[in-house]
Amino acid sequence: MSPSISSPGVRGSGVKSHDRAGRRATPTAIPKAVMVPAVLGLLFFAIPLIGLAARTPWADLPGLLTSPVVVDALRLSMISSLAATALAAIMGVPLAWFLARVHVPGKSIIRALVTLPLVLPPVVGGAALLFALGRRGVLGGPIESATGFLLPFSIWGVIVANTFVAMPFLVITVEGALHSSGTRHEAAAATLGAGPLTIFRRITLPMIRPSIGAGLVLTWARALGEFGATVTFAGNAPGSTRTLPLAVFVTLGQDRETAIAISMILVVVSLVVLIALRDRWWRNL
Amino acid sequence: MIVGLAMTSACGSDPGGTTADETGPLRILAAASLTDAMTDLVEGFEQQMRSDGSDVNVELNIAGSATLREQLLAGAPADVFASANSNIMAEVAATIALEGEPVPLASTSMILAMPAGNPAGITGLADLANDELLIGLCSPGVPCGDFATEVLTKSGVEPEVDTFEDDVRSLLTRITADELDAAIVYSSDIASSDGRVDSLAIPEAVNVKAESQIAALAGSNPNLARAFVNYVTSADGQAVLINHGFDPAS
Repeated sequence: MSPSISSPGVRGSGVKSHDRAGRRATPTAIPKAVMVPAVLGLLFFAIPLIGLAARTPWADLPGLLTSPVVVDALRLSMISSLAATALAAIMGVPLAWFLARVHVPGKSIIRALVTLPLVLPPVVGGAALLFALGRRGVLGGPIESATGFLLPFSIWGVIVANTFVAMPFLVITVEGALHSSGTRHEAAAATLGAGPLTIFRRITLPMIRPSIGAGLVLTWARALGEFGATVTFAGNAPGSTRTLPLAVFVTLGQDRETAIAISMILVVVSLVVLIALRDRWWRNL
Repeated sequence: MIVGLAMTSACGSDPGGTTADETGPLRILAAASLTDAMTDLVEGFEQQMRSDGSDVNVELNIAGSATLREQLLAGAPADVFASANSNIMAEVAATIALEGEPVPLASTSMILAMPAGNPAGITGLADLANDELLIGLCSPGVPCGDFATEVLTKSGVEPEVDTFEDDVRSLLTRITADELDAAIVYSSDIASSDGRVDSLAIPEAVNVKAESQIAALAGSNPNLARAFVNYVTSADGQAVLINHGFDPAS
């Protein structure tokens, strides 16, 4: 999913086939053999949303969305997804820079490792985190016995799970932008006597700022929707780890209207993010 | 049991009748708490059917009772449903056509489970209120969660829960992996844990009788489904359940 989303922004900067308004050369005739499966594909994505909207108790929505279950989950989701986005920014941008600018052998392996959470089932990621950072984990055990601090079953665990799953979105977006922006300006700055850190701060970062912004929004949206790694690694308890997606999972079997209401929030937020990002990317072409 | 089996074999010998391989597999949906017992029961049933000359193909689908209810209500094909409590069975029966009435399958009680060696030194239900400890329960709405809530209400303990799991076996796994300090599970679960957990009995005064139920569904295999229900409630079937730490159905 992500490569196709990121490609217009990060790699397509030289392609001017269509403008910001989306006008493009329309082929004189649209072959039916293409249109029919295309429409089917569109319906395939649209129908579940129509199903959700049809089942949404619109009149009760304000009441449902202000119930303690939803407010608690919303608060946890906001804190954990924003914290995960901040962690991703701190670690992910330098990591992307490293992948784009530093030449070391075996970089394709490093890149595969960094982007693995994009394709790995999140529940596997959660289990792996548990084996590493859980109470009996290779790292979690020593940390707990030294400090008494334990990640699972706390909001810290949720933040770690969210970061693990969402950070790759930032890394690939920023790395792509670094590749397409090239190193000419950085090289010029170096010949003028700028140090490496100054170049990174004053030349590289400003150059890719739009992509960092887009990558951060995408990372936040992914963190907001995280379920599998969170439920496996951090557990599921209201008020401490039950974020919006976990609340959907729990209420689906007990209080379907609440589950639908939360699902609507997540759909609307995700759609707004994607539409806003698209717009931003077109502008940057 | 004899009636059911006789009926199935009669159908099997009837050339135009419904033999097992004509009607597809016998699809059994069973609660997670019954995982090990049901696996053995299916084996025993298959053996019994084989000795009667019919080969049955059983598909066993194990999940939390509430999850199975959602699957059934969403139209999942099934011939037999075994629920860990009567509430969920009643909710299914309100919508799905049964082949006869639900019958008690087995019963058990609730128990405190701790990782082997009880590293946190749990001494009783009151410890579940300790915020310093990592406590797990099944989710409310899931049978083991509702039974645990009943126990806690009776004992006046307000637990500090760190995670709610969707079915009892997921919860037990967190105990065997030493991720949690204590959890309330079924007494029968301890039998399946091969000594990887410690347990502490919950006083009878605050404990509950956790009765599982089973019903044949009006699916594509009603005769075979009835035969299976008859088998598990027979002396042979009950012996398997007792062997897995359950008390016989009342």
